[in-house]
Amino acid sequence: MKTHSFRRFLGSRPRTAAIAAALLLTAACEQPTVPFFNNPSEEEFTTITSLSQVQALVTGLLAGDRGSIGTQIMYSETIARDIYRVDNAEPRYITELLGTTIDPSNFLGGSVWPYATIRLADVTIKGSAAADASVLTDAGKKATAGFAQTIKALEYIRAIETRDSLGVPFGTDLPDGQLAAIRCKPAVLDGIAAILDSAAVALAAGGTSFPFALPAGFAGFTTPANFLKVNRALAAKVDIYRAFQSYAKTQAVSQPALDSASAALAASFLSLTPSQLDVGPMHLYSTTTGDAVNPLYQDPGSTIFRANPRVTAEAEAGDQRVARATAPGSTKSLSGIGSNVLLTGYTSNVSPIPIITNKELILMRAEVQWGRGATGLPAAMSDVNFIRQNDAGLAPLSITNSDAVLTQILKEKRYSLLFKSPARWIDARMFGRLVGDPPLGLGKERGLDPLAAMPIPANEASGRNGVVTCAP
Amino acid sequence: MPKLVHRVLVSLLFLFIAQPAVAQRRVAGVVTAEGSGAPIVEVNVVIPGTGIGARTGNDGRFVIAQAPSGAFTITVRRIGFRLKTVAVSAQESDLRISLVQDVLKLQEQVVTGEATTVARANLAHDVAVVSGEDLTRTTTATVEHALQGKIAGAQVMSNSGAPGGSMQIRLRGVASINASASPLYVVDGAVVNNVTINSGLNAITGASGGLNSSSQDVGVNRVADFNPNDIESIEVLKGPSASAIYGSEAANGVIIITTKRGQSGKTRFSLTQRLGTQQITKTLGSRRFSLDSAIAYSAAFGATPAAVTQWYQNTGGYVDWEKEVYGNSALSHETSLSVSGGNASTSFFSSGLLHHDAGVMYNTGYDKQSIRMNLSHLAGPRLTLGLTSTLVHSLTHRGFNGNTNTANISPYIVFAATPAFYDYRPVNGVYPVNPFTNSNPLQTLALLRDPEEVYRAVVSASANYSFISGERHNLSLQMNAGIDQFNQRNSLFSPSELQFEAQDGLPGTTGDNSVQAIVGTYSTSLVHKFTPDSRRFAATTSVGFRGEYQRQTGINIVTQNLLANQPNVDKGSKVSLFQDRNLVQNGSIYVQEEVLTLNDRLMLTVGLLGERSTNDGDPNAFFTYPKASASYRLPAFSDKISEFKLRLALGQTGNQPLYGMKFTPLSVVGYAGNGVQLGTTLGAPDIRPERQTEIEGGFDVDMLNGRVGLQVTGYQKRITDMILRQSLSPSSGYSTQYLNGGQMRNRGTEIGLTMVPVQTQSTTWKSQLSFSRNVGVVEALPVPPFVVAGFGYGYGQGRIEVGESPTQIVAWAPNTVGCPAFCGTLKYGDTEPKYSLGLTNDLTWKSLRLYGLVESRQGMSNVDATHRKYDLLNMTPDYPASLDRVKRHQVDRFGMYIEDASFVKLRELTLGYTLPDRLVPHVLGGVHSARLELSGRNLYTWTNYWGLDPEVSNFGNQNILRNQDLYPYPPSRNIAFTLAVEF
Repeated sequence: MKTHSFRRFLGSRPRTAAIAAALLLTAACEQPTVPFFNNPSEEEFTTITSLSQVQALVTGLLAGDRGSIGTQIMYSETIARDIYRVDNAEPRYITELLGTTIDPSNFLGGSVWPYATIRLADVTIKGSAAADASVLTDAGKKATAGFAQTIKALEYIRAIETRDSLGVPFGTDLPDGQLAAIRCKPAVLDGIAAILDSAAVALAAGGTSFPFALPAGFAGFTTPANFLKVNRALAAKVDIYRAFQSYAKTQAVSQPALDSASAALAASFLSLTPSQLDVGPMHLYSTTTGDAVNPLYQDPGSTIFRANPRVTAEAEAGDQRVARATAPGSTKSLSGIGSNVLLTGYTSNVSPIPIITNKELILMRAEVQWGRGATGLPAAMSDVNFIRQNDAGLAPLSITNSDAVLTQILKEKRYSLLFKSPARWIDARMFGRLVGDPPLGLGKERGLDPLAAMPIPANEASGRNGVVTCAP
Repeated sequence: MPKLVHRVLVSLLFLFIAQPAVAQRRVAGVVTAEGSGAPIVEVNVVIPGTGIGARTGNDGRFVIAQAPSGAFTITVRRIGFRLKTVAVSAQESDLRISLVQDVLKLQEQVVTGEATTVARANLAHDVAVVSGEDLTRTTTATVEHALQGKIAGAQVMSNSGAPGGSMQIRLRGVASINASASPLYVVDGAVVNNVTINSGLNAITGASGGLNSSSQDVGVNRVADFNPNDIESIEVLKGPSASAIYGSEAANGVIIITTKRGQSGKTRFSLTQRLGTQQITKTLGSRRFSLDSAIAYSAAFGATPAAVTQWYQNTGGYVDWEKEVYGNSALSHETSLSVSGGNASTSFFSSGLLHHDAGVMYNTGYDKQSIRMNLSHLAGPRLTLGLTSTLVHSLTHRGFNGNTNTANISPYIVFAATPAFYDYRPVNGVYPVNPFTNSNPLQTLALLRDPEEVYRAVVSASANYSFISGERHNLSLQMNAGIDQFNQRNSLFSPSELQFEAQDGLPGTTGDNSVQAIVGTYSTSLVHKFTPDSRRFAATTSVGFRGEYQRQTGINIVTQNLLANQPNVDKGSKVSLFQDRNLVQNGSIYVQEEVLTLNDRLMLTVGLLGERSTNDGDPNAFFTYPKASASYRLPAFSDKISEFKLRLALGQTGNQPLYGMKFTPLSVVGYAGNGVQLGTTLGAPDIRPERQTEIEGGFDVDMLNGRVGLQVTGYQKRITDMILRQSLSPSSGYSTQYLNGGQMRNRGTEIGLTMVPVQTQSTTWKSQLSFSRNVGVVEALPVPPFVVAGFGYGYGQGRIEVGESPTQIVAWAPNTVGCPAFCGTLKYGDTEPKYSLGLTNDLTWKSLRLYGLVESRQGMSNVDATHRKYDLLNMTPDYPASLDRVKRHQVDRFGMYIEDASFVKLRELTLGYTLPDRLVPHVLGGVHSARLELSGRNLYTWTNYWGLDPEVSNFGNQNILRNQDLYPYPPSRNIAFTLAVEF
C-alpha cells in the first residue's frame, strides 16, 4: 500500500468524522428508566411515600402470618397426637409427622419458615423510618415500627417453636445475599424478647392511632395502646419459654423471667371476665377473589381431618369443650392410624383462627404461678378452675401436688386450645413431657414417640453448604 | 435492503456521471446461459470505470450506443450467474456472451453490517442464504416450515403438527439457559417480533396449574405471520458476523429476510393457485379386547355388561378413533398473486395471499390473508427512497392437544385411557359420558372453540442519500425505520355441557386473551468507500447507530361457571384477570472497517458495537461486542480447482437479560384489602447480558469450473456470564436469585457440498448435501447443578451440571426402587442430535423438473410420556407385551421412555412441468409462461420412535426443555397441485 494513497484515504476523514460525531451525539442521549409494570417493586418501598404503601405492607405482614398459622397448628397438633390429616393423596402428613423424621426437602420440612415475612417487616420498618414527615409523623413512624416489630417477633416465635433446640437464623436484617447465623434457642428467645420490648417502647410513643387500618379480626387492638397488649401477650409467652427452657433437662426455672412474664401478662389483655375468654387478635378468612380460606376447615362430608380418638377418650365427662370441638363421624384410616372423630372447632371455611386468646393467657399465667413453686400453686389452680368453670363447664378441682397441678394446666390447655394453638406440643417438650404414656407424656402413635422438632429446611441448609449447627 | 441500495447506487453512477468525450461506436450482443443457450434477461453489461453500459432485454440482447472506438473490456453481471469479463477488440461490434450459472452463489451479496454487503466469494464466515424460489418449492404455510433442512447447523423443529406454525430454530446449539431462545428476525432492515403468545387453553387443561395461559398451550411464535411468497431471500447469520450490529439480541443467530422488489419495465403479473389435502402420517393404535375381556375391564369403571355389550356391538370391538378425530382431509388451498413493475425512477412490488390449511384434526385449520406493497423511488441522482409494507390477518384453530391435568381433554390422553371398543358417538344428539376418563373427544371436538386471530402490520421505510459518488470516494447516508405491530386475540369457549366441565363445580369456561405487541426500530449509517487510483485496495468504513423499542401488553380474562352458557366473560360467576406488560428499549452505535485488497483476494474486517438496553442492570452502560475476520482467496493452483478460500472470523454477541430480571418484585396478596409480600425471586440489580465469544474457521473450494463446491466450517462458541437462577437459603427472605456467571461451550462442524453432476443443453442436475454436528458442554457453574424442570426425574428432565451437555435428559437411575428418597439419577439421552444431514436434488430435463429434499437428524432423544401413559394404562396396541415394559419400568424406573428420536424425513418433493413457450399463448391467451406442479411436504418419515412425531415440544419454544412428548397434535403430510402463470 503506497503512502500517498493512504494519506488521501485519511485525508477524506474529517468530513466523515464530523458526520459520524453528529450521529454519535444523537445516539448518546440517556436511556429511559423502565420500571417493573407487573408487580410493585421492592425498591418503591425503600422510602414510604404514601399511607397506602404503609397499608399494603401491614396487610402483607398479616397475610404472611396468616400463611403460617394454619400450617403450624396443623403440624404441631399432629405431632402432639391430637389430630390426624388423613389424606390418601398425601400420606406423608401421617408417615412423617407421626414418624421418625420429616424430610427437610419436602413441603413439610420447608414449612413454618416465615423469613419472607420477617424481611417484609424489616422493609416496613426501614421504609417508614425513611418517610418524609408529611407522609408519616414521628408518632406514626413509631406506631408502624412497633407494629412491624411485633409481627416480626411473632414470626421468629413460630420459627423457634417448630425448630426448638436446632436453633434458627436470627438477625436476618442484612444486605441482600448475606445470611444470618443460625443461633441456638436461648439467644433467639433473648433476641425475640428484645424485639418485643423495643416494639413496646415504640408503640407507647406511637400516638393515639395507627396510620393504617387493621382487619376486623383485630377489633379491640387497633390503636397503638391496645395493640401494645398483644405485644405484651407475646412477650409473656417468650418469657415463659425463657423461664422454662432448661426445665426439661434440669428442672431449673428462671425466676427473673417469670417476673418479666408476670409483668407482661399484667400489661396484656388478660381478663377474668367469663364472656371474654375467646378475646384476642385473630386471622379472618374470606372467599373473595385473592383472599384466603381457613386451611383447617374441611367440609364435614369430605373432611380429611380427624381428632385422635384419645382426645375424646381422655376427656372428663361433660367437658363442653369436647362437644364444641369434636363430633362423631365416618372412620378414616391410613398408614396405621384411624379415627371417626371429626374436628368441628371451625364451622365454616371463613371461621377465624386465633393468634393468641385470653384463655391461653389465663393458662399461661397458671404456668407462671406454677413455676413460682409451692407458693404459686393456689393461684395456678385458681386460674385452672376459672377455665374449667367458664370454658369447660366442669367443677373446680383442688390439687396441691406440684406435678399434678402442671398436668392439670396442660390438660386444660389441651382442651381449651384444641386445633387452635400449637401449644400442646411446645408445652410437652418444654416440661419434659414429650415422651411417655399419658398423662405424663404424649404417648406413642404408630409405635413411635413424638418428634422433638421440625428440621431445618433443605434449601436453607444447601445455601449454607449443609452446615446448620446453631451458635450460642 | 442494502443489496438493493447497492444495486441502485451502481446504476445511478452510470446514469449521472459525465463521460469524457471520445470517439464512439455502437456495440451490440446477446447474452445466453451456458448449457441451455437460453437468452438471459436483465444482465448488466458495463464498461468498468466509465459508467457506460446497457441491460439485456427479453431476448437477451443489449446495445451499447456510445462504446469507445478502441479496444476495451466489459463486465457482464447478473445475479444467479458468475461475473464475466470480456475483452472487446476495436473491430468487434456483435458479441456473443455466455454466462455460467452461479450454482455456488459466489456472486451473491451478503450482509455484513447494517449498511454494507460483500460478495459471498470474499466472505470470511459461513452464511446460509435461501432464495425465495428455494423457499416456496412446496406448499408451505410459514417461513420456518420452508427453512427445514435447508440450513446446515440449524435445527428447525416443529413443536407439534397443529396448523399455523409454532416452530423453533436452534442455531449451532444452545446459547442460553434463562435468556431468549429465539433468533433475531430482521425483515427489510427492521426488527420484527417473534414472540410467542400462549393461547390460554391452560384455563381448562390446568397443564401448568392456575388459570392463566402457559407455555404448555404451545403457542405460535409470530414469525409465522409472514407470507413466504413475498420473500426474495433469507440470510441466516449463524456465527460471529451476527455481532456486526445486533449485539445482545444475536446470540441465537440473526435471520435476515429481504422481500421482493419491483423492476422497471412492463408490469408483470404472477398468479399461483394451489389446491391440496393433508392426512395424518401416523396413528398409535390401541389395545384390542374380546367381548369378555371388555366386560371384565369395564367393570372397574362401573360399566354394566349390558352397556359394554352394546358398545362392542356398535363398534365391532374396535374403531380407529384417531381417524375419527384426526381424519380430516378437507381441501387446503392457496391463491397468491403478485404484480410488479415500474419506470426508470419508481418501481413497485405488490402481492396478495389467500391461504387456507385444513388441519387433520376436525374443526382445526389455519387461514391467512396478506397484502404487501413495496415501493422504490429514485428521487433525483442522489436520493433513493424505499417503502415496504404488509398487512396480515390470520385465524387459526389449533384444537386442544398436549398435556392436561384437571380435565383430560387432549384426544390422545383420552385414547390412552379409553378402550377402542367404547362408543363415543352421540345418541339422539346427546354425547355419552365417558366412564373411563373425564372427557369425550367427539363431544369436545363438536363444542369446544379456541380460535386465535391476529392482525399485523409491518412497515419499513428507507432513505439513502449519496453525498459523493466518484471513482475514489463514495459517501452515503442510509436511514431505515420500521414498525411491527400486532394484536393477537385468543378466545376460548368451553360450554358447560362438556363432560369435564362439571368436575370443578364451575361448569362452563370462557376466556378472552388479548395481546398487543409493538416493535419499532430505526437506524442510521454513514458509509464511506475509498478506492485509491492505484486500485490496490478498497476500504469501506461505516459508522452508525440503531435504536429499538419493544412493548407488549396482554390481558387474559377467564370466566367460569357460565350463566346460561353465555360465552361473554362477564356472564359467569367466577372471573379471573391477568395482565402482563413489558417494555424494552435498546440503543447501539457501531463502527466497522472492511478492506478488500491484493486483487480482491484478501478481505479484512474489523468492527465494534456498543450497545445498551433497559433490560440491563444499568440501562446506560454500554456493552461492547467486537469482531474481526479475514478471508484469502488463493490463486488457482490447478485447472481442477479454480479457487480455494481460507477464512477465519471471530466475534462476540450477547443475550440480554429478560424484562424484569433486574427487579425484585413484590407479590400482591389479598387480606381484607390488598397487601404486598416479598416475591420469591431476588432480582439482580447489576444484571448484564450473557456474552458469547465465537471463533469460526474454514475453507471453501470451487472445483471443476463451478460444478463442485465444498464449504467446510468449524466453530467454537463459548458463552460466559450466563444468566442463572441461584437458589437461596430462604432465611434471606427469598428462594431464588438471578446472577451472571458460569460458562458453556458449543463446538461444531458444518460441511456443505454442492454439485452439478449433469449440465447439458436439456438437462441440469444439481445436488446439495449439508452436514452439521454440534457438541455442547457446561464448563463452569457458580451454583450447584440445577434442574430445568420438566415433569421430574420420573419422566426425564433437563439438568445443568458441569462437564455435561446442557441438553441432556436425566431420569432416575435403574434399581432405585426402595432406596430412601431415590438413589441417583442418570443421563438417558440428549435433545441435541449427534448430527444432521440435508440432501437436496434438483433435476431439470427440458420442461420437467423434479426436486426433492430429505432431512435427517440422528442421535437425539425424546421423553415419550405418551408411550409411558399408554403402557401404564395398558392400552398400547402390543398389550400384553407392554406388561413387560411396565414391569421393567418399575426396576429401570422411567429412563426407558426416554426414546431415540432419530429420523429421516422426506420433507419436500415436487414434480413440475413448464409449458413450452410457443404453446402457452395458444392455451392461455395473454400468458407468458405457465407451470404445473405436484408437490408434497413431509411425505414420509423413517423412524423407530414410538410416538407420533419425533419433532415435538410440549412446552413450546424453549432453550432446554424441548423434546417432551405429551399427547401432541399429530403430524400430517400435505400434498398440493399448483398452477403458476405469469402474464
